[in-house]
Amino acid sequence: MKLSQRRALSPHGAALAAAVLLLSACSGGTQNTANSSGDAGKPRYGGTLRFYDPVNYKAWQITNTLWSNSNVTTNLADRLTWQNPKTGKIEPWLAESWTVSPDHLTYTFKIRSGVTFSDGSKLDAKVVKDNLDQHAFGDKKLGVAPDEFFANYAGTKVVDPRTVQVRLSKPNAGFLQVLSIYRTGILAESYLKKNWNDKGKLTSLIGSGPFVVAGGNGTTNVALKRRDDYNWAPKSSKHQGRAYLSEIRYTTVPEQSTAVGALQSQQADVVRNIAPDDEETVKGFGGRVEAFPAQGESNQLHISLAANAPTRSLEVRRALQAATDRKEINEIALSPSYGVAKSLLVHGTPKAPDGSAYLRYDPAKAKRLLEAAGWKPGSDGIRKKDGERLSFTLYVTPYYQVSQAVVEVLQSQWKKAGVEVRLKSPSMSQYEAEIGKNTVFTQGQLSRAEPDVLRSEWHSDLTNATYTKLPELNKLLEAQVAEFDPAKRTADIKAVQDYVLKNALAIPLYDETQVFGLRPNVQDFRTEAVARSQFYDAWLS
Amino acid sequence: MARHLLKRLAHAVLVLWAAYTLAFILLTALPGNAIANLINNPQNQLTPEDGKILKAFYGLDHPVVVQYLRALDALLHGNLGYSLSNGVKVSDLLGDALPGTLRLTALGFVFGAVIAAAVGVAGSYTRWNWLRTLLRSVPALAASVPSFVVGILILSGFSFELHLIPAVDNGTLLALVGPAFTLGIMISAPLSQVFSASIEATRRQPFVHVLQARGAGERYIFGHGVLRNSSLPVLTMLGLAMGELIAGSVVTEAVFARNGIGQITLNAVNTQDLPVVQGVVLVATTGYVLVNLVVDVVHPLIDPRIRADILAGRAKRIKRSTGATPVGPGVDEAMAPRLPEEVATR
Repeated sequence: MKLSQRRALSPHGAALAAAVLLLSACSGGTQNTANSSGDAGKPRYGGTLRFYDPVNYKAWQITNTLWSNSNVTTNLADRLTWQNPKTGKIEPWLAESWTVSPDHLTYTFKIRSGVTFSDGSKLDAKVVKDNLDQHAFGDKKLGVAPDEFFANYAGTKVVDPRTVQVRLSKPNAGFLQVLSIYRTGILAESYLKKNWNDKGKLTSLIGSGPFVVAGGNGTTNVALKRRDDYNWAPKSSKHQGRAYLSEIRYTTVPEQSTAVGALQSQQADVVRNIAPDDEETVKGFGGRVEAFPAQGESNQLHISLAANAPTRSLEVRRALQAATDRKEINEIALSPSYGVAKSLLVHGTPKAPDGSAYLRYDPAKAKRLLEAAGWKPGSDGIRKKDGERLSFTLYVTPYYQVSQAVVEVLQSQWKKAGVEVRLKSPSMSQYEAEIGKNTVFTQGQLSRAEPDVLRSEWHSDLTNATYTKLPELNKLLEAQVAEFDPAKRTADIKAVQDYVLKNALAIPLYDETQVFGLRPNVQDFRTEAVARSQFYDAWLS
Repeated sequence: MARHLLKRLAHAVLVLWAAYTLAFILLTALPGNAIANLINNPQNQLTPEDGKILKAFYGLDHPVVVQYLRALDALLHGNLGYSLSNGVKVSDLLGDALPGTLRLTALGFVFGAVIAAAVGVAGSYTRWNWLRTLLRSVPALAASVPSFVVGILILSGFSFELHLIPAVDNGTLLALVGPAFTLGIMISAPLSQVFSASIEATRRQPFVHVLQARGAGERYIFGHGVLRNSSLPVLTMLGLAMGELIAGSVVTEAVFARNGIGQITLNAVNTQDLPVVQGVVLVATTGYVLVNLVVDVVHPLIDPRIRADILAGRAKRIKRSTGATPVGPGVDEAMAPRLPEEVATR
């Protein structure tokens, strides 16, 4: 096994990168206009920003969470609330103010006046209600499925053209944050009336955002242009009024080395998803590397308790936890851009508790636990019990560019504890068809800058990561979402994490991170709370 | 001739139907599809009930046979269905991508043919042995270097360093040169190999010696005899090269980030987007069938022997059963160039 061989986006990636490096090495001096200080003077209006994304766009329904799509949609549709990515606080946006009833079941929102959608229609209470209703209830006739984030939504009353009253059937401490996510972007009536399939067209996305769709085929390229009459940015933005950039051109470039080469030769301004290997290359030619932790769950292995495997034993699960060296994963497979996992939640996620006490690398403890559970070393170093080898299959997960490198490091770490790992590297569709409750380890993470993301992952009525009903865990998850006192809620979140890590139901691997490569003249590049690029404040010097 | 064409057309339709059906069977036999995967993906957080809504919406809740018949019926009405991952009409998706791929493959084909001709002719006629050896090893090299390496080398040199061509498609003709050249190099390999071998073989034919004996120069002999004779196998290869062009566009379009049939194929296969894969199979088969049809039609125009065969189809059958010589022009005589007077009398 080669630890140094890292996976780029395609199997050819490594060879290609090598070829590019070779050539650029031969050519000698390249333009080096490093200006990473960000001190570029006064923002300038105008210019076209060229954004390269490695993943082709899929359907454009606002609820599509695909990284490539959401990097575009967050610029098209404004939300009722804005989550400040720095502080995690919820701020007014299309809702200019709100009040919450003492029982936390009724939210009264005052809608900002003077806001229009890009088709000219006005933002009012009615269209807000229709948006929320469609999220919550779906629409069978239109083929729209209900949105799980709106699980306890009871309905919305239009009080007057600028006031809505949203009722919930159960208190939800994360509800205001739900309203801030790009997938809850408020869209015009014309979008709501379209069926599921028609909603998937790029041109159907009529929002009130600072940019509007100007063209593109919607699968490999998208062009956005600025809305000159835009004047309702969140207060905490660096400026008000129209955006600085007059145009954004998104292109999908599947081959990483083509994208990096284009960045180097100044044919691209921003490249999303720079591989750990390429970070130095980008810095080498004077480009900038900017990393944004994707708030929400850290990237982790979820263990299915329904799978018939040795992981049903708590000792084995704890042993694997102790045999995992997260610092080494970071050093070998990733880069300093990625945080070392210290919790179930990525650092910076509001109320993320520290879990490093559970996540310490302790090979002696791993051995001790396995011995105690009756797993004795066999002749080939792999442990055995009643003739069964301690052997698992790990999938290289196609959603994560760095998955192969990470699981290869894991394979070597667990081997030291006498645990065999066989790697399986399926295609995207193969993977999606195969994983399920019999898959022992599923690598995954849900992004959301709200600790309630833990409920989505672990509650047996929701994603149910363990494929098992754990009533005690369910209760803890329900308790935290009904708690509105910040200090008490922080303690509740910690209780959830304590339960999950004490029982070693998840093995955190690394902090999920988005790494962008930038030309030095791209200024004030920002993302919203879950690392999707928000271009409102960006400009080109 | 008309009957011959009609027969070929009927064949073509049969091939299309068979390819479509076979693709359908193979794809439905695989586990999962774009919608099932969407539902199964824990990141999407869809409940089984939500899944049912989606499946019903895309008609995936019917038995496979019904799905096939519905797809075939829709196809006969010119409707290829909708992409499962994109929601876009498959015909729109293909219509959007096809012109780009056609331009790419057409120019790639021209590059390929020119390179093959140059390498083939120069390799056979050069006076310098070292050049001959070099040119004869070029096709083997071109065939063994993967096209993504060729592509990235072209990009690195001409785009990243010299800034002569754009790295990523921007709709200009200039952006076409890099990927087309990559494709051209790829398909030129088998073409030039066959062309070289064919030139060699033709030059050993008796009629060449006769021409030489009568005092014709090499250039004359090449232009009036060798070229026509030795291009026949190349023509057959061209039909096959069509398949390689389509396959090559998958890699080339990915490296050069071009929207086209290749990229669509890659994505559709990756996401098991059945209607799109079906559409691509249809387009590729149509292209393949068309090119081979053209090759079939052109063949007799170049080679009188084949023309004679078609015209004397009946005679041929008689020959096969009785061993009698068919009536018609003498075969070798037809292909040998008639010498103009001044050469013959010199």
